[in-house]
Amino acid sequence: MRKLKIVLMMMLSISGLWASGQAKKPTIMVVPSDNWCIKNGYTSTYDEMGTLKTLPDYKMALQNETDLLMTIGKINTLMADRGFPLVNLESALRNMEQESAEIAMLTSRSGGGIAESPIDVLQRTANADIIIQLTYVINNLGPQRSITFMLQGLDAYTNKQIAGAQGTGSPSFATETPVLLEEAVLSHIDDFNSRLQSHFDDLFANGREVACQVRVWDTSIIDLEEEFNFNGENLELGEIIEDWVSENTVNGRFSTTNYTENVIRFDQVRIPLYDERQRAMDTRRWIRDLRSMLGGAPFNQEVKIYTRGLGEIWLILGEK
Amino acid sequence: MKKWTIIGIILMTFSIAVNGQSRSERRAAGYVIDNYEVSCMGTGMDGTQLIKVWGFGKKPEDAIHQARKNAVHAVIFKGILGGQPGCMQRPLVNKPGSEVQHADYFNNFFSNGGSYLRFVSQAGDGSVDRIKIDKRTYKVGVVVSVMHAQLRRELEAAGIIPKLGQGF
Repeated sequence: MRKLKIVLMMMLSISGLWASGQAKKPTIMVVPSDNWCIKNGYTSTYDEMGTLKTLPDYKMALQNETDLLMTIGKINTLMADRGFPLVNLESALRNMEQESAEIAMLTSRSGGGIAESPIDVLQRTANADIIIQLTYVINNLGPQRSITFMLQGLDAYTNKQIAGAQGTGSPSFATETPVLLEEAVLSHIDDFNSRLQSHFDDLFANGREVACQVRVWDTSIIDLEEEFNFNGENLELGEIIEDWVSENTVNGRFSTTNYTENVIRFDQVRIPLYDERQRAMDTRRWIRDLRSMLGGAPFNQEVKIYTRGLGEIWLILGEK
Repeated sequence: MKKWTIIGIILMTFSIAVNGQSRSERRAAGYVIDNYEVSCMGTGMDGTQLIKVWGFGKKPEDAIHQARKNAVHAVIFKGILGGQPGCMQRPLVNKPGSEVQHADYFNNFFSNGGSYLRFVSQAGDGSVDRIKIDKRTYKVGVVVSVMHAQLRRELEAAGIIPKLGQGF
């Protein structure tokens, strides 16, 4: 019996170690920059309440620009070689269209359709946690041609540039554009990856950087300036939430960038990569305890959690 | 006879004036492994870069060996900042003190005939720039191709640098 207990404990500890090995992996996708799309005419314009908005048209760009497709393909291949496969933009766009068609067509036996709110439709976009924005320009100087190439790694939630590589290649008389582009990718990808690795190192050392917002439904009977007696102190609800964030971040690292009765925005929030049971942590798992706290006395509030990818979370007070 | 002695002394003085580098100056010119000249010559095939690098030695052959060693050392610890575009500006090993921390590995790696030779090969027609610095020292510049992608994999396997996204 004692031996059995020891064996069971060993198995449990081994499985615990195995479970703690992996943090949530960010998704990365290469997209042409807005600058490139606009300069090359791949845009679509729509009227948003009287204001004309111009957006990049990735699908049109990929269908027409072989050089762009080749460059994205080359970057994807090199990243896959490094053991970090990327989300392919073209496939993501195609999958999104297919998914939309399937959702529209799918019905249950009783004739019911798939439930989808407007926000579900809005969120159904080709997205990734880290966007690699690609820009290139062919420079002509007399008969010589060169390429200016830029890669920017942007965190989709903190809007920070976390990696980058740029430069202009050597001028050449006879080299074709695809060759210049391939050479540019080969010249810059390793420097880019080196910076990306530095970002990952920082993430493992100081926690994942996310953004968090606390908002209030307009139907809610309380706002964030409502005072509560909590743990022997009279504090505003917003201050209590701020204290919770401070206690649940790595070394208490976060910034409160906005604080009103209706919204508090926390930026540069460093959440741990693993919870106390060594399970991989994400924003939803991280904020669940705050929801539980606000659901109990003295607050007794219903709270909705709304996630925006791996790195941004909203907590909306008042109802689900 | 006296005349020849005077001429000899004048010539010797002149020679000292030309090659009158002190030991420390010679070290600064590239005798030590950390102080060599290196410049980029362009991007090679997938995962390689062309580098012009200089080495010192008692014989030109020794200097070429030293130059090859320097080329691999530059890619690992320095990055290639000068010359044409197309080389890795950031070194493969970014962590400060890594060379000292893994001294055993690197001493073995950079030993004469060590495994660094697997990642460097002479590029072009094999021509070299040879400068005789003094009676016993040659400074030789060679263009070599360094397989930095393979080198990175080697260092990842040895646990010197992490794999991209390791831990996810």
